[in-house]
Amino acid sequence: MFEQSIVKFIDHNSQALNLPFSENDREKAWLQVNNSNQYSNDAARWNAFLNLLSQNILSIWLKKELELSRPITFSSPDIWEFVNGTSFSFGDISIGDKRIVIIPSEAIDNQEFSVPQEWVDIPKFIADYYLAVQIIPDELSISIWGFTTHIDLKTQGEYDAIERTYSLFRDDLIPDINTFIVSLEVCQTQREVIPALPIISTNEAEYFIQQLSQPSLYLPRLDIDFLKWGAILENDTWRQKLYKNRITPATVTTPAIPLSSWRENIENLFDTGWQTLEELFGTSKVNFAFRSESSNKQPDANTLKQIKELMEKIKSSVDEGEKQIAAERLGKIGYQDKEIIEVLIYLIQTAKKEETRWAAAESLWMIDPKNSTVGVKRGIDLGMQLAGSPLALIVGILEKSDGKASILVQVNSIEGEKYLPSGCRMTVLDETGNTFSEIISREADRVIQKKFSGQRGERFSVKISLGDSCIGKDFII
Amino acid sequence: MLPKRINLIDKFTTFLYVDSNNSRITWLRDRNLIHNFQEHYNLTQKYNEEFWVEYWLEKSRHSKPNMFAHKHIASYLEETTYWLSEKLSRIDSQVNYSLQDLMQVARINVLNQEKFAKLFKTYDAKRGSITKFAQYRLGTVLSDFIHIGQTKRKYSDAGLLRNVSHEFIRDALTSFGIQDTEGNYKLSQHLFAWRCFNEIYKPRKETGSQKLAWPNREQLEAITNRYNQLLAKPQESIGNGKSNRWLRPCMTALQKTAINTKTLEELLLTCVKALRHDISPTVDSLDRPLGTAFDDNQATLVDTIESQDFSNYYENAEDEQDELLNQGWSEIETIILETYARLPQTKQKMLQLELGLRITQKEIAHTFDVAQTTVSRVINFLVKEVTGWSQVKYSLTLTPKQVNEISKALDIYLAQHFQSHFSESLTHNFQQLASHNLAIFKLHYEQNLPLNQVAEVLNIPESALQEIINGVKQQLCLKLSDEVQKDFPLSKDGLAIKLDTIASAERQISTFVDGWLQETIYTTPEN
Repeated sequence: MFEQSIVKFIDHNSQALNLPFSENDREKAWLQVNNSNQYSNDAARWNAFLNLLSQNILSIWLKKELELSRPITFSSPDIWEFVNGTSFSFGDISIGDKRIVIIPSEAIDNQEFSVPQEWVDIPKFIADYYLAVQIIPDELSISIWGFTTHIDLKTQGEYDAIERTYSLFRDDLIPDINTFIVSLEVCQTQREVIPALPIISTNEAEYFIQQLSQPSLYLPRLDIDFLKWGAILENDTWRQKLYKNRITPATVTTPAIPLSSWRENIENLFDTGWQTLEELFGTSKVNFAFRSESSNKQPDANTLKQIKELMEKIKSSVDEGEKQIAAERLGKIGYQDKEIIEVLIYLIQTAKKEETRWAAAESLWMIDPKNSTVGVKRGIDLGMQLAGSPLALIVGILEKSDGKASILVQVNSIEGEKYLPSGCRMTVLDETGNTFSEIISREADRVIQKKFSGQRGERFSVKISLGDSCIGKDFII
Repeated sequence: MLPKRINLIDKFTTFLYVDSNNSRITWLRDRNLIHNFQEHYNLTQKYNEEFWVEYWLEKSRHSKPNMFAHKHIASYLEETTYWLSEKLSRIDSQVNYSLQDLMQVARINVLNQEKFAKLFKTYDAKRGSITKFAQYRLGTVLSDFIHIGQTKRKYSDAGLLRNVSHEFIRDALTSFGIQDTEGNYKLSQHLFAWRCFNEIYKPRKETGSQKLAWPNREQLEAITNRYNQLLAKPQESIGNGKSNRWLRPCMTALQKTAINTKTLEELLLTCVKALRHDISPTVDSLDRPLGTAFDDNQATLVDTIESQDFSNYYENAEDEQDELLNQGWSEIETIILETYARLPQTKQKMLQLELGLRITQKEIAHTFDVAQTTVSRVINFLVKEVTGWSQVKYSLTLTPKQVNEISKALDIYLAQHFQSHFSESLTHNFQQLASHNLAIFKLHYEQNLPLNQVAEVLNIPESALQEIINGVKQQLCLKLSDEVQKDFPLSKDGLAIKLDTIASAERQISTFVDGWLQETIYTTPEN
């Protein structure tokens, strides 16, 4: 009897359904994915190849096995630019509107089944059944070695936060493919209820599409937050736009603006539209700073005494609040003097609080608008891009003594002392597209701003949206 | 010969030692296990084996498991491990693993707490004995091991790296001695390098992916950049406890160490080494978890153990099936048989061959000149009928897992149905063929006497006995073939299909007859 049990378990291992294919099938699939730059990189192309080949072979088998009268609807081939897997939807009466997803893998060990999160957490993508498909192109072999359901993936799957996959061990799958065929007919839907993805605005989507359109050597699925990524993939228009952008190498995307070049006063191609504040506002807002050299009269003795006291305070006070007030007053006085400028620069570099640093910088630029020793501030008129709203985005950078930089981003009304329209939203995002700050203007706000610090070489982005319009800018520190 | 363990305590505290030419097989005690067992034994004063299997299993599944619990079970499973390894070491393959190799692989799986837990997670004592469960589970582990060992040789280094799962490489690295410790996340670093390699390095031709070349400098640089870039990214989602694979402190530690191309290549090469490295050449790595178990000075156990054959070890192999069938199945027996009777002759035959004789669907399809799906659909039809019936009867909605249970039970039920039919036919034929030689079969099969002893008792030369047995066996095989062949459909050309066109039919029939000879009760015919 023992002989027989051995035979039994070896049989059991081969419960996998093997579907051999021909060299011709393989070549056809390869030519199809390789044709006229359909995918942007090796990873996507290979992914598309494995999926297309599996799709071709498995659909023939399923049509026969299920005696389908209607054609199967597959997920669009552009999905392979983004994620591994292919969905099959049936409209057949005997099966109902059930969907399956196949996940091909070349792994020889079949020890685990990993399903990309996209197929599990995007409501429009989820399926009832997930088939574990092993494909070995060199051996002309495809086998289905197990299956699971959405419910099981969601409830028993191990989530991997780096790969963004749900994984089950082989033991947690059902190895018998006949059971899959029967279940497809006799079981109800196998989908767990999942929350809808948060809605993102067209502007936000545009912003991410632009960011994700950058060429890469891998599938860009891990580049931004999953919820945003999911929202873009779920929307056919956005997904296709991103797909087109990625496979068209000529796509012009605006590279990040290097803030350091402002300080070095290097003309930069991408800087178009960024002006110094005098250029941007005329005299109206920087009236103090805009007075001519000749008007820089020697102040009276009283004021000079005051200046001396203020400078002393900055140098020796232990209270940073006091230093800040002193710096602000020096700015108001506005007397252009080498010694005053040096004191302010000293304060900018040594201040502990961002507030103090920026107050000192404001005063410095009131006294000496062109001073870029430790930092620089520029602005751009957003009117053209924000449906004619008279707004300006101002970005400043200050170098700190620890090698980091202080960044200021600010939205101002461009017309004198006017208030910002309420509901103007300024979002600052990190390199990965995660929002780290969002400020919305209320009634009677003159300015919304954010100060933060970062390393040289780090990237960040700013998005400003008002009503339906939105504009995004990328920066590199 | 494998000595039998008699004492209760031995069954849970000893391990087999098989020397390299299989000539010396002895049981060796493990001091820690004995100590642990005795401690618990004194508390419970229970004597039966089943109690202790359940006891240690429960202790091993406890949230704070007794650190020896799974090792007691491992010890209990030594015979299973031995027999499995012995059989599988004889499987014909390009890579031959010795009995010792395979035993070691099996033991690594039962002696490691984590692996043990995974392997026995679904074991339920109500469904059958742990030895049978282990036989199946370890059998899968070992045949996988043999299969992968063979497959690996077809792959180049880069090809191999690309074609294993995360779980597999993690396991390989761990057995290779690469581990995460606090402050030094070597394992994770290797895995991270491997995942970046896998994400970027892809074949550029539709053929030859198994023999993929090692990445060049430029490609290695791209992988290195990806490694550093991905680690520099803040990983908010990791801290929320959802992921067991990448732990926050580990990621934080890795984030601090950007790597260069040289380091990356070294990490990848270590991964290759770990993947290529099968089993340690010595039993050494295995000995460690057992403490001093294999110390020769302690090898005294053999004195206390009676030397006995183990060939009847699996005599109750059918328990599990009975167990399943008792669970309310008699009620739907009629449904199954009725549905079966409604099937056309050809389909009934297909089921008989598939379930009664365990002939593969592929072979059946080939012989009957139909698609394999036609064969698989026959059993699907029955499963659907039974499933539909139970859904209505109990107003349930079944899950795919339940459908799978039904399908398995149906398989077993029909197999038994066919096999008892075959057995009846054999009983009938045996009486006609061998009633005058009954004594030979009774002594040899029922009483397990070796042939030379039977020869002595009956005073017939051993060679003559062998001839008689072989003759009867052969006749029975022919009769059974006839029985199966009966009602065989005609082929498309109108010719009779012959059973012997199925390659494995002869072997399967002979196996069945052997099994029957072993198990049947030899009685004198009544007339």
